[in-house]
Amino acid sequence: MSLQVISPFETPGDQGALPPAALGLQGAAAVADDLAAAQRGDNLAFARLIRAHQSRVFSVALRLTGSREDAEELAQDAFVQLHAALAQVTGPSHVLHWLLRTVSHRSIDRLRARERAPRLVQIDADHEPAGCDNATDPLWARRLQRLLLQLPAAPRAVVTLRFQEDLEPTEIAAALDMPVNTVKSHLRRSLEWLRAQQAGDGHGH
Amino acid sequence: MDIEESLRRALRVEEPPPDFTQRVMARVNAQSQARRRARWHLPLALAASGVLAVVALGIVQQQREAQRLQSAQQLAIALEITSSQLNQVQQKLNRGQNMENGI
Repeated sequence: MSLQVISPFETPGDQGALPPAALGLQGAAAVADDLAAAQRGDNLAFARLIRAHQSRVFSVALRLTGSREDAEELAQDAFVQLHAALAQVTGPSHVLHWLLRTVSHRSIDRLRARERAPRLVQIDADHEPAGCDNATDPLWARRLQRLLLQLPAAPRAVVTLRFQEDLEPTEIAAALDMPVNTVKSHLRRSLEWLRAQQAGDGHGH
Repeated sequence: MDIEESLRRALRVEEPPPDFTQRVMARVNAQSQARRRARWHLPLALAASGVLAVVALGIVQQQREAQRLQSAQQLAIALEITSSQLNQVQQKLNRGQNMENGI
């Protein structure tokens, strides 16, 4: 599926929306009802829209910022912005697209502001035992999360949307306002770097 | 293990704090109230300006009316004085004419 680059305030029709599978068919129907009610001013319906999307929006912000506090603030901002722009949202999949796009952009802005005032992310190698090649190794998962925080803002967002949200490169390109080739290049280089770290840790094949 | 699969496992969705929805709704409600208040600011300012303009116009008209009355009174007094002086002159002239005629 290909997406057009749209502003969160544009009305994209079906083109700016994520595929229905991204929501689940049952979920999509419930979100459609809640969206229509929220657009008529029903705050309880809007609260249900928040509950339906909060985990994914919060998680994207968390992966990008590495801070629960920042993630909560950025996710809240995205929902408050969504409420102000409800009239321009065209459907349930557009809600998710709108939220992921808004929270990604805001998180990247926050990261870039932080990068201007550099702050090192400390990775304490002593606490990361090597030599464990286990698919469910929680320590390796934590190490990966921390390695992700070492990537610059844009590739970090690309990797997060690809592997947390399972978006295709074209959808990531639409959400982040970047060419598809740039998305693919960020993905390729980030994976290469992560593989190198994995090999260095003894988590490789 | 494949790095892509590892990433999918590592980047699992996490839950925000339990009161997340309530906090967002509190912000949404506060924003709606602020927007409603802001919606009344312009009409209220226009209404206040209108009232002030009407009051100012009333005061100016009152002052003009008072000035007009004062001018009319002054004119009436001046005419009265002139009239009485003309009467006196008339009387003197009549008296002089009578003396000439030996009345």
